[in-house]
Amino acid sequence: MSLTLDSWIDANTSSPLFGDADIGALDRWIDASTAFPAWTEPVGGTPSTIELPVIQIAI
Amino acid sequence: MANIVYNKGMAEWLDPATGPGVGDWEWILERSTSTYAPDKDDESLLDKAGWVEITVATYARTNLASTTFAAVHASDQAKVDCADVAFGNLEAGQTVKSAILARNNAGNYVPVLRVDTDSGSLLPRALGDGAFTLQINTSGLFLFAQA
Repeated sequence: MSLTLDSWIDANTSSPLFGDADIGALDRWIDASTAFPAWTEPVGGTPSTIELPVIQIAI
Repeated sequence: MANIVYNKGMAEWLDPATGPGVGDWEWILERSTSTYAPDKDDESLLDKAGWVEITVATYARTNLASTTFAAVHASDQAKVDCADVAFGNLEAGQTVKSAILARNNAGNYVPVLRVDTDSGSLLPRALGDGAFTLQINTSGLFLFAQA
């Protein structure tokens, strides 16, 4: 089952954990977040540097 | 299995008609799911039974670059060196089993070197979205010395 943010908020307005004050805070957070810099993909990840052994050749 | 130098590939490496700077030498990454059984007698790579190459989205075979040749008098050796190999940020989901240097001869890749045992024991190495780099040893790629 998937939940949209709206449906999640609706579902949780009756929860003891999420009173009206909490929902208001969430709204303000969402409003504030619209002014955030654009979301970007995380940069980096796990780098890997593989050090090759020197190959010795006898002649 | 140990790292190996292929016979045909070394002959082409030393041949002025196909050697580095003339031939199209490229670094290739073998995937962990590959069951390719390397043999020094192999004169091609991509058509070998069980061969599987890394295929994550931004992976591309990378050209050998900046090959140099120098005398090392202190140890009576001739040193072949080249640039480190930067594959860029490679997406997670696959694991590198080995690195292979080969000459692209009209799509028939002639391998000269296969490294599955690196100095830092990182191979096989799971890709993790980060930069994947082959760092050439400070002593060079190949050292030739009188036996």
